[in-house]
Amino acid sequence: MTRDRLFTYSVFDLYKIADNEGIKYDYLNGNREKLIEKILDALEESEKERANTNNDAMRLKSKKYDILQDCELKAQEKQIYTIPERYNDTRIVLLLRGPLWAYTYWDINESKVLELKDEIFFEGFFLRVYELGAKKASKKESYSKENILDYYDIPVDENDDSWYINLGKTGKNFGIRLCALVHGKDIVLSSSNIIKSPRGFVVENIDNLSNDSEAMTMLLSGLWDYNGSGKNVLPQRIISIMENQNLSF
Amino acid sequence: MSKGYLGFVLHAHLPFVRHPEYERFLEEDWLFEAISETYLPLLRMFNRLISDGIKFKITFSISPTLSAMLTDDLLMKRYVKYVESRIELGEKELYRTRDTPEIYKIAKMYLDLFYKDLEDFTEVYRNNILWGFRNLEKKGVLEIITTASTHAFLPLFEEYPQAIEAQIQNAVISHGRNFGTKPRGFWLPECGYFPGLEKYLKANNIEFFFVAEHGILLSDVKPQNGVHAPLQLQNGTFSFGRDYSLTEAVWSADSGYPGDPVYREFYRDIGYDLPMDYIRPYIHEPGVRVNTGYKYYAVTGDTDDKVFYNAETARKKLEEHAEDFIQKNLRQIKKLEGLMDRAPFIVTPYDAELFGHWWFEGVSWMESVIRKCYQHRDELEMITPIEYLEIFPHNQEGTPTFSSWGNKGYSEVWVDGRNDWIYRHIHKAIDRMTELVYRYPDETGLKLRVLNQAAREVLLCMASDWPFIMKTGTTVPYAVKRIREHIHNFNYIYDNLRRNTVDTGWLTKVERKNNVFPDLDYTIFALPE
Repeated sequence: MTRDRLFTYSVFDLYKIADNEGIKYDYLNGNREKLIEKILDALEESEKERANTNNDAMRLKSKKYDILQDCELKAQEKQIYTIPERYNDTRIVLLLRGPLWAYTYWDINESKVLELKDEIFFEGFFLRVYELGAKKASKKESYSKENILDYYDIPVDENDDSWYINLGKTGKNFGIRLCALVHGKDIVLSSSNIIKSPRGFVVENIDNLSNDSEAMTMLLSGLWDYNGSGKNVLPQRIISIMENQNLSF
Repeated sequence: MSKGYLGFVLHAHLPFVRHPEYERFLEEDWLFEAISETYLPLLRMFNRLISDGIKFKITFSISPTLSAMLTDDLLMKRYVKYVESRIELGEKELYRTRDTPEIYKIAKMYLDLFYKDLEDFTEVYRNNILWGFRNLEKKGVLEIITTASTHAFLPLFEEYPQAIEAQIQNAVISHGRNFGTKPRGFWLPECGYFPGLEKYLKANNIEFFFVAEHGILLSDVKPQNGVHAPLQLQNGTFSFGRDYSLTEAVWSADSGYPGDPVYREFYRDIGYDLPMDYIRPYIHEPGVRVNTGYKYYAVTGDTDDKVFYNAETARKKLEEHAEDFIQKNLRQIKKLEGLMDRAPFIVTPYDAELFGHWWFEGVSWMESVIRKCYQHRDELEMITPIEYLEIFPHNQEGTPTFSSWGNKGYSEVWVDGRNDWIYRHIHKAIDRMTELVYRYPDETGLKLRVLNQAAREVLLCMASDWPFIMKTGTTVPYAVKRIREHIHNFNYIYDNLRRNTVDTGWLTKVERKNNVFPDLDYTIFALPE
């Protein structure tokens, strides 16, 4: 999107782009030139942010969908499709995002919410994040007292419906429960599926290889041709392993 | 036996985009551009190599949604119109640039390519280029494999085994219909793997798949050969790891080949550069500027003052880059010599559409790599994973770790603040679809059509392309609309079935629009045993 191209847009479309980019423009008093400058700054910022949060594979992949260089203000398709915001049942789902992060979303049955809110001693909802032992055949067994290694709570609001969870440990099993606190008692509303965070280390002691740079190079497969300047393009997880092993590029 | 082996893997995929309700639809151009710039040039290149007696082997993944579009009458007729319109534009360009020889020459090059596309597409392949790929497999130069039906990022469906089974089983069925063979390999969308996924692959007779390098490196065993030999999983399937540095030689934003100043610049297209009155018939209504394929400038450098593209200079550069790629492989094999008990297998997977489409010279670069590889075949031979397994059937046992080739190596591209809202709806739709399978286990007639369409909508909403686009910000409003459309359609069917009603007019309309996988059987969403 270039300055010249923005000058061909109607004011209405420029406001629309500004809205999409979260730009406040009231104080510009309709000054088209200043608005375009603001939009260009915001677009450049978004572009940088996207570039920083994508690796080369993803940046290149996005090229195949790159048919528009201008801002797409709306989908060509006019049909409106309505979908519910939430579903009227009680469930919580946990999705693994990486070795240390998970994402959870939940729904609570409307009548259950009303029932809880009618309780005089209803204090609120919270999430309980569990570190668990082995993943058992059933959810009930996985969440059994003997299998719970640790847990912590996150208070959530009635209007919340999702959360990003810092797991804190790699190579461990985790679960999460949606709970209500009533009169000092925890009431479990729903228990999630169990996820296992991926291990972030090479299995077995590799001391015997750590002094053998070629063998280590082979082990780290595909990193043989990188010098220090190439380090910023390597996956973080691999860099940390190499650093832990005092390996050089 | 060669000293080392190169496993070149191309993954061809586009999401299912088909809008019969519009005369022209912007996102359908994804397919048309890919046919003209990638798929047809690849077919020509492979056939040229065969004619020249060059022996090579490529593993080629073609997604079921792409196959469905490439065999769809409406889309293929629209492709012909697309090429004809590009030819008309090219003829006008020759006239417009008649006094500027350096542009005229480039315009002529594109026009000739579009004429060739039209001839190959309509006369050689009779509007079905899948036959071209199928024929190459028969000639033994391609091993065609499949991928998840709608390219779902499978780790985010680990708790929904019926959905994973549906994605894989339907893909294998679709592959059989399109290529007349059973796929032996599987491209995991985005290299997304979680321990246990191999169970579903094995159940569908898949023998091998690919993972990101850290999938192997951080596996449950110390990988003796790094990613240069596969891991054999407990159930007998094999996982092959990507080689990072050789893949990056092509991909890297800083040092990758495609960014060389002499190569063709993707973003300077006459669709944006020429006056609206001239270009209007070749862009989208109402006056939405898009790429036309006529691009006259070279990358040049980080400047807006671009120089004209020179095909000869680019040709010399791609030869250098092909030689560099071969030498990198040879150096790697030399380094690995003596460290492994077998010859290394270097796996370099790429999205096919980057060659020719974004990297205009990419197909010619690949041709040069293949020719040079053939010259060096005693040291570096191109083979497929199956052929490597025939030479080295016994491999270290182990299970890769959860991984992908996305940013930071896991799921964060597909679960992000911009796209995480979709999973509540998709997971619910899967649960409800399975509920329908058990509520209506053996339906016929109208209800069968309704249930099959419901299954189609669920598969379509699982596509990884939509959350990817939401994250990377290319055509976000369309991606959002697509997720909403499929969830809406599914919920409409679900609610109607609960009321025991069927909206026949609506169903017919949706069947005609979202007509992917015509033979889909909704009971595919039953829970696997």
